[in-house]
Amino acid sequence: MAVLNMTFTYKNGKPEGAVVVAHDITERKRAEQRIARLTKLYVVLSRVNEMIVRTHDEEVLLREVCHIVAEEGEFPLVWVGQVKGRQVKPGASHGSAADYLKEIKVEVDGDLGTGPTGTCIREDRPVINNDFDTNPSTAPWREQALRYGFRASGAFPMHRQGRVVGALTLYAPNPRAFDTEQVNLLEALCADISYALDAMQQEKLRTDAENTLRQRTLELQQLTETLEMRVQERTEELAAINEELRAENEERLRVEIELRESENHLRQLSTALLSAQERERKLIAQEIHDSMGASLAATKFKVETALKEIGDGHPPTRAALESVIPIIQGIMEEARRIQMSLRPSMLDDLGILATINWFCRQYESIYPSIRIKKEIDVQEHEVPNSLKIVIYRVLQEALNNIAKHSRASVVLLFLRKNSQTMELIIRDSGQGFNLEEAFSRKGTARGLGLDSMRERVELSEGSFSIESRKGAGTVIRATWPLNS
Amino acid sequence: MFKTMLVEDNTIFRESLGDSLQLQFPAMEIVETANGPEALERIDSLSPNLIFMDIRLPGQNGLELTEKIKNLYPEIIIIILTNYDLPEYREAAARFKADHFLSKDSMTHQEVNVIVKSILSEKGFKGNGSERNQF
Repeated sequence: MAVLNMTFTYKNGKPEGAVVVAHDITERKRAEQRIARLTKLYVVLSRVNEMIVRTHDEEVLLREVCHIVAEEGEFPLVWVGQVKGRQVKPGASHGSAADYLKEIKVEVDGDLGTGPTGTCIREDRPVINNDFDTNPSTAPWREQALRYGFRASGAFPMHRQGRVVGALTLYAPNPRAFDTEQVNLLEALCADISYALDAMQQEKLRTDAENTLRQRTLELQQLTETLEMRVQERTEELAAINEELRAENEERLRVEIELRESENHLRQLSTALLSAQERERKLIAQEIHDSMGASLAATKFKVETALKEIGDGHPPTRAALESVIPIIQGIMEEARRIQMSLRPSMLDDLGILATINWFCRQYESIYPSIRIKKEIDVQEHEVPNSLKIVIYRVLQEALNNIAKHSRASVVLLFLRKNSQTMELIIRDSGQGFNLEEAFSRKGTARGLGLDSMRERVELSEGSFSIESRKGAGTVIRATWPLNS
Repeated sequence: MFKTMLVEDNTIFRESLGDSLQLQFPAMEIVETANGPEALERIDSLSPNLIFMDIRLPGQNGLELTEKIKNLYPEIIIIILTNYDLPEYREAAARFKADHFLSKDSMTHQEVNVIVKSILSEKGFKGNGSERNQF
C-alpha cells in the first residue's frame, strides 16, 4: 500500500510545479491492524474474565465465551468442541456462520482428525490453520469453509484438571489471521476458561459435598431424633413393663402372704380340730367307761350270782333277775345318747327335716329360755343328700353358740330354696359380738365354731356369711348352689 | 298257718326275737331274712301275714321297703322296729304305711305278745298262731 504526498509549488500565484513524494504505508497499516486486533482480543480477554467471575454455570460460561469472542473479536464463528468418544461435538457456538457446524464432522483422529481442532486435542497444543485454500490438512472441510467465507482458523486446547477435554476453535475471514501474539492471548484465554471450568467443578464438587454433608447431617439429625424418640418410646415401654412387673410382683407377694396366712390358718384349724377330736374321743371313752362299763360289769355280776345260786340249788328270786333289766335299759339309753351325739342316725333313717325337728325339740328342752321358730320351706327330697349333714352341723354349731354366748330368747331358723340355691339362715335376737375381734383372735382363743362352720359350707361348694353387731344379734347364712 | 317274717340284719336280735315268738306262738311259722332284697324275693312264695321290719337295713331303708310291700300286698301287717322311741320315728312309720311301731329299746315280751295277739285275732287266728278252723 502507498500514500502519495503531493505538494504543489506556486510562483507569483501561478502554479509553478509539483513535488510528489510517495510513501509506502503498507507496513504501518499492517501494524495498526495488528494492534487493533490485539486490542480487541484484550477486550475479549477482559470481558471473558469478568464473565468468569460472574458465572458459575458451565454451560452459560461456554455459551458466553463463544458469544464474546465472536462478537467482540469479530470472528464469523467461534465454537467449543467437546470430546465424545472419537467425535468432537459442539458444546457451544456463536457467530454469523454457525450453520457451518451443521455441515461438518470433526474427530479426534483419523481422516477427520487432521484439522486444527482434532490435532489440537490430540496433541494438546494450539494449532493454527493459516489458509483453508492451501492447507492440505484441512481438505475434508475446505469446500464448506470457503463457502462460509473462512480462510484461517485456530484451535486452542481446553483442559479439565490438566487433561484435554476439548478445544476452542475460531474462524477468520482472512488467511494468516492469527499471529503469535494473538495465539498467545487466545491460549491465555483458554487457560483462564480451563481454570474457570476446574474451579466451577471444584465449586460444584464442594457444593455437592457440602450439600451431601448437609443432607447427611440432616439425615443424621433426623436419625438421632428418631433414635432419641425410639429410645424414649422404648424407655417408656420398658418403664410400663417394669411397672406391670412390679405390680405383678406385688400381687404375687400379696397372694403369697395371703396363701401363707391361709395355710397358717388351716394348720391352726387342723390342729384345733385334731385336739377337739381328741378331746371328744376322750370324753366319749370316759363316758363309756364310767357309765356303760360300770353298768355292764354290774349286769355281769348279777347274772353270775344268779347262775351260782342255781348251781347251789338256790334258784334266784324273780326280783333278783328283774333288777338286771333297768340296768341294761340304762346302758342302752346311754349308748343311744352317745350315738346320737356323734351322729344322729335319724339323719340317715328319716332325713334332715325330721332331724331338725328332733334337734330343736331336744335343744328347747335343754335350754328352756330359748324358743326356736322354724320356717322350713323345702321337702325332704329337695335337699341334696350331701348337704344334709352340713346343714345339721351348721345348725348344731350355731345353736350351741347361741346357747353359750348370745343370751338370745328367740332364734329364727329358715331353710328354703329357689330354683338356683338352697339357703339356711339362723338369726338370733341376742347380744351379738364384734366380728373383727372374734376373727382376729389367734390360736385356741379364736374357737373352732365359726371356722368349722365356714369350712363345712365351703367344702360343700356353698358360701358362708356371718353378720353380727354388739347389741344387734347375729345372722348366720349358708347358701349352696343347686344343680338342676 | 300264720306266717311271720323277720327282716333284721342283726343276727342276735333277729334270732332272739324269733325264739321268743316261737315260744309264745308255737303254731306260727317264722321265717328270718337279713336284708330287703331277700325279703322281697321270699314274700311272694311265703305269703306272710306279718312282717317285723327293721328300719335300718344294709343298703336299704326299711321304711321305703315297707311302703313298697304295702303297695303290693296291702293285707300284710308290718311292724316297724327302731332303736328310738321318738315322735319323728312314729310319724315316719305311719307315713310309710306301717301298721305298728316298736322301739327295740323299750319293747318287752309282753308288749310284743299283746300286739301279735291282737293281730292274730284280727286276722282270724287262734292265740297260739294256729288257724281257728282247725279246731
